[in-house]
Amino acid sequence: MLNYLARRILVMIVTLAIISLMVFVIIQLPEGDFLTSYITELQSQGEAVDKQKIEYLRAQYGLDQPLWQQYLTWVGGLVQGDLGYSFEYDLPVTVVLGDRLLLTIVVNFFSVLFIYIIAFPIGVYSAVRQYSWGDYGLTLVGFLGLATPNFLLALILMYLANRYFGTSIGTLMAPEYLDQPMSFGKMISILEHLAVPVIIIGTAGTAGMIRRLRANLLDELFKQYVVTARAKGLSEGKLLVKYPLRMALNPFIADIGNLLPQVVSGSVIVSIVMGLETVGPPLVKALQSQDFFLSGAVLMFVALLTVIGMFISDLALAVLDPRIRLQGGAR
Amino acid sequence: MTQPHRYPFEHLRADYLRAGGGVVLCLAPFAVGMPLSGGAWVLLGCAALFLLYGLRTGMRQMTRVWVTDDGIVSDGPIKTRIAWETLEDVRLSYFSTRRGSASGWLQLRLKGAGATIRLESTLTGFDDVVRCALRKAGERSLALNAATQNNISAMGLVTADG
Repeated sequence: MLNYLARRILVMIVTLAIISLMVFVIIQLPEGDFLTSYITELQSQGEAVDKQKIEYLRAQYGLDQPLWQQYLTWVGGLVQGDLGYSFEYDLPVTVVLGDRLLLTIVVNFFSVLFIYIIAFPIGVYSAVRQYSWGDYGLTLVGFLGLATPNFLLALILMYLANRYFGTSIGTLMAPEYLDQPMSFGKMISILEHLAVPVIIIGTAGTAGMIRRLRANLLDELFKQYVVTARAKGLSEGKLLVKYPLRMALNPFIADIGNLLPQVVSGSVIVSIVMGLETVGPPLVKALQSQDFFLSGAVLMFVALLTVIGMFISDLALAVLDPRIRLQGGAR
Repeated sequence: MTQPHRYPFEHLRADYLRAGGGVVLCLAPFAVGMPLSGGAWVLLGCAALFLLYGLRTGMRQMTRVWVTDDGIVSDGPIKTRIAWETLEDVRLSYFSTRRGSASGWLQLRLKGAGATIRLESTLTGFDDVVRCALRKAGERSLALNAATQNNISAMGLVTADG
């Protein structure tokens, strides 16, 4: 296991290094930088541009340095916890993001949990009762969730939540807790407001999960060992839990890593529509204004979440699932 | 006397490089003045893990595995012996850092009389060791789990229960 752990962490570090390079290159691809956009904006408004100030800012934030040097400075800062300075907000990135990082993790964690809690029983039921009315009905509901755009669902649920439960529309907490330090009351308020965004973000992922678990379980249910166990008199419930379900669960666990980036990118639009205090809205704003440090920090945060998700699912698989070697290859 | 099985240096070299690379990558930020704050502890933990990995690789280099009619002995900095007559469990697992990849490695885990020996497929004559362990497991009527049986089949060996 130590061998596996060490190799896996090394792969993770290299992956993050490559992602950081790609993020840097992609953000730098559009012509100019935040300051050139800022100058153009000022000029279009007919305002005077203080060239000296611009040059000073360019030098201060290292924008006059060659790209490779800018990259190394940025990565060096990231590793040391210095996320840089947001031009758009005129504040350090850590201040801009603040609680948003934690809230993003909370929203996405509960969304993934929601997907699993909903998809698991439905997937098992659909497989065990294949082609029944229940299977068709639940499949239809799953597909409806998949086909409905998140933002539309967000608008509908926001209306219903406000109309029938009196929950304030938008944001992840009651207005009095905004910009306040974390407290018990704030935590309760966040949990209270979490239901609607979690349902919206999670619904799209649920259908895929249901279909995957259903297909995996159906594959297992018709294997010979299941027939043998049934012939030996094992009860249906015990048989299901002991063998096929365990085998069908492996791809389900493996999907944690794939699920996270989907959920995170899906939550960006929902966050904008609902005005949630996650990293989504600042990311979009930063990308529009070429605020390199802010967008880079958010993208690296999302990448880190994804890589950690993959790592957790790989570890869970290595522990829970005794690996089976493919033909040939191992040294 | 039979020849001992050992881990060849050409395979261990890659492990040493991984361990060294991991330690350097994890400690490099401190060399450029990273303070000991939240994230730093994660890096220090990873560095410790890579150090341990390097240490384990070193121990592997010194390890010799003897398979005799009486039992199996892993002789090195830590000496472990399992007599075949006390063999309780045989497991063959496959590990890969890339999903669905066939370029991973196998691990044979033998348990008996409170001792555990773990051998990896980079060991010289690994197939012979597996074959011998399976024969002894068969003689003692030990049950092999499904993954072990599949891995044995993938190696082209016949399982203990035929």
